[in-house]
Amino acid sequence: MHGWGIAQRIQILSKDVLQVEEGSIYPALYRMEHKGWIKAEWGQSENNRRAKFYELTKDGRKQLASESRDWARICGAIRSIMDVA
Amino acid sequence: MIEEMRQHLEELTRVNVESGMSPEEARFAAHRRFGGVSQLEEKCRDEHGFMWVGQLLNDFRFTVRSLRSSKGFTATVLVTLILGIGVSTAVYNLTEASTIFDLPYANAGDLFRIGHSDKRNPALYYCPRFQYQAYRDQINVFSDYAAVLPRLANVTIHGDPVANLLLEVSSDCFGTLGIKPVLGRGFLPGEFRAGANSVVVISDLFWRRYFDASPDALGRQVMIDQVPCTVIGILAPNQPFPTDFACDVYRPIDLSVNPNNVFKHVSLSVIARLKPGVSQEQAIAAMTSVKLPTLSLWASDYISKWKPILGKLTVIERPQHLWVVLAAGAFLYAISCINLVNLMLIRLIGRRRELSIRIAIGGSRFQVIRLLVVESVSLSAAASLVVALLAKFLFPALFAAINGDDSALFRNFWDLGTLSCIAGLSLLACVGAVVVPALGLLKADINPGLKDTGPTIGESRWSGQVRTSLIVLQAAFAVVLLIGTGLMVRSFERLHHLDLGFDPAGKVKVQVEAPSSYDLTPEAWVQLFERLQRRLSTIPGVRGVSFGQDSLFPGYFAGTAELRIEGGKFEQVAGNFVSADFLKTSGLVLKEGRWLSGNRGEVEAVVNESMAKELFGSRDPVGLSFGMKASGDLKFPIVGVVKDARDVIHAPAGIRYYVPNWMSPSNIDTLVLRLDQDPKKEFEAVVKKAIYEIEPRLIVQRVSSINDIVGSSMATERYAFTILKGLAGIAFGLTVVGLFSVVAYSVESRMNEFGVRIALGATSSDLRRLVLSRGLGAASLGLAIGIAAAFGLTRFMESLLFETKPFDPPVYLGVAIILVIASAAACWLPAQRASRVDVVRLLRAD
Repeated sequence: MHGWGIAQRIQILSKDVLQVEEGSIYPALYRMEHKGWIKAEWGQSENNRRAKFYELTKDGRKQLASESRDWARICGAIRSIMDVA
Repeated sequence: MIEEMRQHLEELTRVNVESGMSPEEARFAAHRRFGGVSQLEEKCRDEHGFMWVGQLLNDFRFTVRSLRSSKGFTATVLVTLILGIGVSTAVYNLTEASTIFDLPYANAGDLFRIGHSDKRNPALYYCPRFQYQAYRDQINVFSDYAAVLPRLANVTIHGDPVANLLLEVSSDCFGTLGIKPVLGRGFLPGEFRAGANSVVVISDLFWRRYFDASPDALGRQVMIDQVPCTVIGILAPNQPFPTDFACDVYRPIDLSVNPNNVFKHVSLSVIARLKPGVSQEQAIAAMTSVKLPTLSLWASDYISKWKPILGKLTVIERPQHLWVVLAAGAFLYAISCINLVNLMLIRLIGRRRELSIRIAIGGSRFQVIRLLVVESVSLSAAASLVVALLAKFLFPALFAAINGDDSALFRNFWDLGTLSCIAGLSLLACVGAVVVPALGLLKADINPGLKDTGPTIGESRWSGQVRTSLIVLQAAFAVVLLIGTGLMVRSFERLHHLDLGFDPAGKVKVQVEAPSSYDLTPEAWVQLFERLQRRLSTIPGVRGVSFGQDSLFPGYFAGTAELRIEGGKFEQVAGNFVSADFLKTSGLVLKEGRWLSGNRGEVEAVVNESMAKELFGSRDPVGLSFGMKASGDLKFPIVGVVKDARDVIHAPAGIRYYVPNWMSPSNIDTLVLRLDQDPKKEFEAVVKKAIYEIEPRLIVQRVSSINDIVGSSMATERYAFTILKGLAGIAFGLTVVGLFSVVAYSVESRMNEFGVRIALGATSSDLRRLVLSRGLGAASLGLAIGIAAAFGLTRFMESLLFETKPFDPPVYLGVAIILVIASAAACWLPAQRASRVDVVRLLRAD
């Protein structure tokens, strides 16, 4: 998936709740590539333009799994606190 | 990535246009939604690892700029660092401290000196040849050997005598000790026999001194006892050697032994490597079991009392004075580091405003500390560079002056040890200079620094306390050094006023020895000395020459004769064979009667006052006589009494007598020359040349003035004293400067407070007292701690002191007075400044 696509996807999936400056995903992508969580390759996009396509690496999947676990834990914790309140 | 972002923007613009915006509007909206392109780019660059290089360069540029703007600070820090690192590096080299940590021979732990103990001596590390060969042939506990045989020999180059000692080495000696010539080659197996051993390996120093460090030296010739020998190898500079193995000229040993002469050249020094798995006890048992060749009766009786011993090579006996010097060097280094830390603290306080602003506008404390690191590293790197240059260009001359011998001039100080010593010391100083101020920085509150007027109550409490305790510590170190030096001063004062009992001025002792191959009848030996006497008398400046047994400072009194005084029992008394003109040439003082007449056949004796008193009591010894066990019934009438002459510095003169030299020609080995004043350095060469003219085979062991011998008998003391003097001076200077800077700075930052005090009614002398009492308080506390420490530490230098106790009240008192006066002087200027505070201006400024 390429940068533009990722930005659109985030917006659609979050139902426009998360409105970040779209540009800020590029430093994030760059950082993740640097850390070896994703790998990138230049290719043709749907509308026939050159675009950089990103893909999760094995390390990236591991990181994703652990981050999701952490996120789930935090969310769960917050939810239970909110429930009590 | 730039392209990616551009595409993204285009896409956004396209979507906006599709939703009906004008192209211009669409572009703005897209940019709004996307965010700042260049900021994003920057963020990505931050991810790069190379960022810190740029930041470091920036920090470095900033440091250079700020150091250049505060020249006083930079100069003081550099001088402090250069003194601290430079002096410690010099001390490191002077004491050869590197050998404390490491012996440079392969597996040095398995190497042992071979020796024996007997009734009188716990450890004598030498082996007769036949014993060494018996070990090699009969036992199997050692894997390698290294043996050397010191030999007196006349080494000459183009007729000039250049050395009188060489070492003959065993074939495996260099291999066992891991020594390899850096130029040329070592000895070949075929060279270890008479006839083939006319080859020499020379030391780096010898090469530099006599061959101008030219590679052409290989193949050149030196004459050893008139046999031409070819130089085949040159050793590494500063080649380490075990004790007894260091020399300038090495030659292969010829181990063929004349069985009739087993004790000729007894002193082979032997080092052996224990085989793996063999214990020292097993080795000693094996050494005890060897069968020695048939010896003469007395020799085997003598040797049977020897117990073989092994001495670990890694255990180095380090003379006490080296420890004292090393400790003094460490103290000085500590003092300069303390000064450095203090200066860095002052600077930090001075820059508080700048640093507070940095932190306030978002700089992290880490960044500020990084700046501190860059600054200390730059300063200490600059200082190390200077020290390295000093080591290269100044150390040779400095060391030559301290050691009183020019061999250091030919030494290269840029070796791994010295350079890593410099690097290590500067790194350590750097750590100190960063850690203490960094601690202060982490604690610091930025608010007061940001205020316009700065703190009105002086420096922060923490840093003030730290700086004062540093000063106390510094003063304590300096006091220990000063007391140590003071004790040496006292000791030397006593030495210089020591009455030797004779006048040493202008007296020169020349000792010669015949090589082993030299065979002369006693008459011919005396005639040779008469010729030498005539020849040496013709040297300009020489007023008189006498010859006899060596009997002037220190003199050879080891062989004692058994004397019988008028029918009493025989007693051991030390005496010498001297000539009629010895009284005049030696400067002895005749107290009673007359000196020896010198007439052949006239048996007579002169005794010293101690002997007269000890053996004859209140009777006048002149006219009495004594007998000698070795001379049968012969009577020695006493014709005169001379004043006691010391033969060593550290002990009073013993009981001595003097008898005519014609009675025992074989004991003659020394000429005493009388000049109007002590000769210059060139005199030695003149004398050697003159002797060489008369008899080239004679080995000149020594040509030195009695004053030089007296001086060199105090060489270790003088050496330690010279270094201590220098170190204590520098330490004292640094401490006074340190005290001054601390007090001056605290006065500067308390000016406002002083103004308030004056306004509230304090007089200017109150302020002066306030400042003085603070400075002197710190100094006195340091003094007290230093005196307590010196009390404990100076006992370690007891052996260096001559008739001076480690606790010498005048020295302690003197040091205390000097320190108090110097501290008062250091505080006086700041105190004056405090007392002249301009109240009106200060109060108005607030």
